[in-house]
Amino acid sequence: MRSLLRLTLKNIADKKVRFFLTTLSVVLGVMFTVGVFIFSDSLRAVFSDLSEDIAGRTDLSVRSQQEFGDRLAAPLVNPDLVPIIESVDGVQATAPGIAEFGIVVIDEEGNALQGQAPTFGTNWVTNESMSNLFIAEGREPRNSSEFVMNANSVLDDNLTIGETYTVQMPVGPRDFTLVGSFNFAEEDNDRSIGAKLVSFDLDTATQLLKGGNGWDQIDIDVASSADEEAVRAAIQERIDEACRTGEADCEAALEVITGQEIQQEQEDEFNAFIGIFQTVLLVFAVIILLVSIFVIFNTFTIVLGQRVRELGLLRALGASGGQVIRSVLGEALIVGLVSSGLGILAGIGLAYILRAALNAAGFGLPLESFAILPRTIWFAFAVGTGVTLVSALVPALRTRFISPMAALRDDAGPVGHEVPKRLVWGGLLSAVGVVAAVLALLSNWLGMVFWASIAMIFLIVGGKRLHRDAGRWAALALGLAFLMVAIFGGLNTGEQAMALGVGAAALVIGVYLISPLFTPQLSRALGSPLGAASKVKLPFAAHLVVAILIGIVASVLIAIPTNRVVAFFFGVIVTVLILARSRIASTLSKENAARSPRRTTTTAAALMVSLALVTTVGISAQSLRSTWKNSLDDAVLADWFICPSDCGTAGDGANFLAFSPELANDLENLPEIESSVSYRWDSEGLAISSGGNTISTYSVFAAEFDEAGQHLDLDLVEGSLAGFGEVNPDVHNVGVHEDIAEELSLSLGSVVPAIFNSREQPVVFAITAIYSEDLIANSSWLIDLSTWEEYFTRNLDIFVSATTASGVSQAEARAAIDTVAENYAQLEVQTKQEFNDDQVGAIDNVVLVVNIFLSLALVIAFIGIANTLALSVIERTRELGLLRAVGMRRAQMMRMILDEGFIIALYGGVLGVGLGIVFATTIVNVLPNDFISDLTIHWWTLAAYLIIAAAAGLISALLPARRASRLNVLEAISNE
Amino acid sequence: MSDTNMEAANGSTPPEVAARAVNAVKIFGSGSTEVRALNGVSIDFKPGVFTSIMGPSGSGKSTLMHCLAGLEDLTQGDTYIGGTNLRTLSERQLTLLRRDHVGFVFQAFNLVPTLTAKENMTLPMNLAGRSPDSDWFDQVVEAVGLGDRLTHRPTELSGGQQQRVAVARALTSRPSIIFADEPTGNLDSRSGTEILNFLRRAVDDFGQTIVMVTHSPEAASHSDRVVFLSDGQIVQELKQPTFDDILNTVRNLGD
Repeated sequence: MRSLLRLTLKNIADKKVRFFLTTLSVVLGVMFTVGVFIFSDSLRAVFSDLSEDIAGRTDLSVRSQQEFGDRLAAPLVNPDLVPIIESVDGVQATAPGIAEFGIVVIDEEGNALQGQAPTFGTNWVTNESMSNLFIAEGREPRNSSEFVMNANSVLDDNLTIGETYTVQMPVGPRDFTLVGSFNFAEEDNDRSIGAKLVSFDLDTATQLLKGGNGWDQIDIDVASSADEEAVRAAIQERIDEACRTGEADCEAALEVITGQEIQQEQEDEFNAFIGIFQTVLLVFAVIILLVSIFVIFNTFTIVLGQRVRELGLLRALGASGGQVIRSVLGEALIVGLVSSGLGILAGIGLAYILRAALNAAGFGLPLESFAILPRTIWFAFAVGTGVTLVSALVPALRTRFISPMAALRDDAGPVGHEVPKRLVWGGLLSAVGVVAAVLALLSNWLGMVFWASIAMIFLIVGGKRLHRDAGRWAALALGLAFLMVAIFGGLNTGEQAMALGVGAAALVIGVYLISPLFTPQLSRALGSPLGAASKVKLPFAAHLVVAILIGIVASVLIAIPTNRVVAFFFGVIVTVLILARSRIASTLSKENAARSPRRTTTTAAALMVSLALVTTVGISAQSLRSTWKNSLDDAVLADWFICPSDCGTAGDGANFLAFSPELANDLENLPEIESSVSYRWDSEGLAISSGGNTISTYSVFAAEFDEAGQHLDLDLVEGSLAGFGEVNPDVHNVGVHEDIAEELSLSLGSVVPAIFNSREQPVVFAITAIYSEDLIANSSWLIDLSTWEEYFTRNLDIFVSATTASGVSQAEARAAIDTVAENYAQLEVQTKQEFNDDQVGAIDNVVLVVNIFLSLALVIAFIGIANTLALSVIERTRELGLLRAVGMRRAQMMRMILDEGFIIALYGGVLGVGLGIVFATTIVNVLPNDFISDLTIHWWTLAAYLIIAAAAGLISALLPARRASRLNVLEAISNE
Repeated sequence: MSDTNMEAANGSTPPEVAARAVNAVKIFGSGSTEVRALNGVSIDFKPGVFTSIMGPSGSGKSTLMHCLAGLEDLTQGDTYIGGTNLRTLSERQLTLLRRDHVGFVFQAFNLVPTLTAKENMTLPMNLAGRSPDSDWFDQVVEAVGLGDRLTHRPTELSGGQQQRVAVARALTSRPSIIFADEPTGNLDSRSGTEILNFLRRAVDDFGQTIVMVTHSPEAASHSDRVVFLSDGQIVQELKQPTFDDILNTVRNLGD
């Protein structure tokens, strides 16, 4: 055993390049995982510090209770409570707390000062011991014409203390003089994390930020001698009594909470956000690691194939099969450990690069140091080593079939072995597989995954004992069956997605197993353009011209504009390399790719999986785009939209950028404008009992829907929005999305009790409209603006639409709107077309980000191709030497290997794009039609993918090809 | 069970044979491609005897050796190492038998390129999880004359030196029998003679049993007994042969 371990170590030390290539794919996967963990852990730590700084200065706070809903929309607290609270024993001091989002400063040039982080306004707390804000320069605001801003923003945006600036307030734009700058959270260090923060004196903040209706909370300083819990209870009792007796007018029930609780709340919220971010990134890490499995598997298979003689010798000298397997697994273990270690180092590097990149892009991330948790380290080792061991397992187990005779033969071939036919065993195993498959098709969720995995294993193992290829076909059939079930099975959306996932995985395995049967034909077919190209004789300058033309065509073909340059570059490379052909080389390379079908397939498999994902995402996004575009074209009627930079439909982020309703009023008064409509939104604005004790919360979308009929077509299924705003104190007319109506079994005319955010009194809804539009109203309840104003505290618009008066030209209307909108520099004026394009454009951004991550998987796939070719050059040294000896030129040799890379990459590309088309088609069929229905395939984009794949294949082959062309002929021939 | 027999083989009272084939038949392929490599061979190899197997290419001499060493199964008949019938052993038992009781010397040396000479010599022992008896090991190293080459890798050794390492490897575990497959085939005549002398000494000084397959009458003349195969059958046998005896026999068989 000891000597085998030494042998293992020496093998690794001896073949450093091979070892490096094997580790590279694991290193990349681990690097990504570690980078994600470090980055999200660090952000968590920073935010946790920050919320401690912020909330740490407050002992207790009084605020309105909120059973559900967005804290932004919570009812306000009456300032009259201050003397009542201060009368409680143990209360040393109180301070009002006010915060409002969307408070944007406009600089001298008329630019709105806003970045990726929120912009908000607060009240200046005069009691220094309770304030989070510390004057850095100048002084605090003292009257209604003054404001202060956080020091980082003043510095970054070049504001001058003493100047007057326009500030966007909920009441509309107002002018204030900047009298000072302050540090946020720390006395001499502004920790505003990129946020733009302004502060006003209490009176101004109360009147202009909260409409004079109250404060968000009252912070309390408890005497150090007092028992905080007792004081808390006493305050709670006292304010409850005050509200009950009418001593103070309370809009909602109040609660007393501790600073720690607020801190926890903020951290939880942030962690939930970071958690999603982290999960999404980890999904990509998993994809990368899955792709690496193919690469490592292939490397081990080839390397062990080359070591058959040596392993056979060990067997002849008396090593048991187990010993040989263990030595191979030992090597895998070391590869895994080393690459995990390197991956961790690279991951730390990645975190630094990511920070620099994000900061360059304008996110002021306050990451001074990185948090490397023990969890990150052991997880990285577990994942990296686990993936390597799993990939090496099958090749290692195969070594038990190496006969000691292998050491004695000259022509010891690769490890191969034919499974003997055992009809009884095969039949039994297959039967189990079939039963499991049926169970999988009948079950749902995890049951589906479990039974499908069992079915897969048994069908493959059993099938191959019945007939050489039966297991492969069974795997393919299982995949197709699941896709069929996903489309036609009548499942709900979640189960359909599950069936789709299982089907896709099974199909990938099936194609992987089946395709070696067709590798010879396919690789000859794919290689034929090379042969044809070799007949074309053109001068070199002509090559270049043709190459550049094809590059231009490729860049025009690709649908994603940001990838144009890449497509051009690759187009040129492919063409140059294809045109510079020689016929004999291309014939040989076709045959080389064809002669070891399993190897070609495994090499191509990593690319197949990555490209299948890229294609799936691409087609789905194109389909989504066209579906959205169609439904937006139907839904959007208004001529103009005025909205914040992230122009939007109703959504969670919209309220951070909401703006003054003054804008809509001003527009309405323009003669060039026929009408304007304000839109408001609350993500958890109301709750309805959905039977029994369960209460579900829903989003609320508010507008003057009587008028909005000319602005938005919400695709009414039943009823009408006319007379929506008729005020009836007992019953409110509402509209509801058809899905919610179905979920709650409501129909036109139904009357249903509901609770608005934080109100104790239920209201009664009468359903007068059922609609089906999805994108703009975002599956909400529709209420009239008057109802909103009655029940919601925050009266800010998320966007405004307008229609041009008849007889007014577009240019005239625009000029008129601009006179109003120029006061709101943070907003954009868009035509209907621009608005629609903006909505759809969001999809492109997501696709771009997804593609960037998937390109890491592609890189690994290409490393795999380079790796395989390098190894097969070593393996074929003798044969290559022979070719050179009989007169093949260096350049021809080089082209031969390049062509092999081309064929393998194209092979993986064709299979991957094919699978991607199947997956995307299924997805479009499976997902709800109102979400995605128009299957849109840009064939030319797919062609561009293939061009890119082929070019990258050629590039991957460069180093191995160079090596092959530089072989010393004599040594190569005498090589054993 | 094989172990107890083998203990006997290594013990003071040697069994009457070190290896034996009884009516051995080996057929490769089937139908029109059928080749009868061994066609009813019966032969005994006594302990402490150096036997050569000769015969033209395709006569079955290598196959006989592979079958005797348990590297290949017989189609019919039986082979024995010591008193153990190889047919009764499982794959695992065969491996252990090879490890503990059989040594090999190959024409192509077959050293592990990443291990040093010394590590190569002790490999079979290490595979068994035992450490070599150091007196014995020193004796072997001295016998093959590689004392100053122990830390060298195979690529740093000449062919003759590599084959001496291979012989030492076969001797180190003190097997009941050593099979040598054309051990001088890849060597110049001087190195070849050296190797044959070592094999001779192993038999004379250490009482080793050796079965060698060879083409060369010169090589075979170092052995105690030469067996001639033709078309899978034993056709002639010489005891204590001289070079001329062998040459004559080869000539006669060649007709």
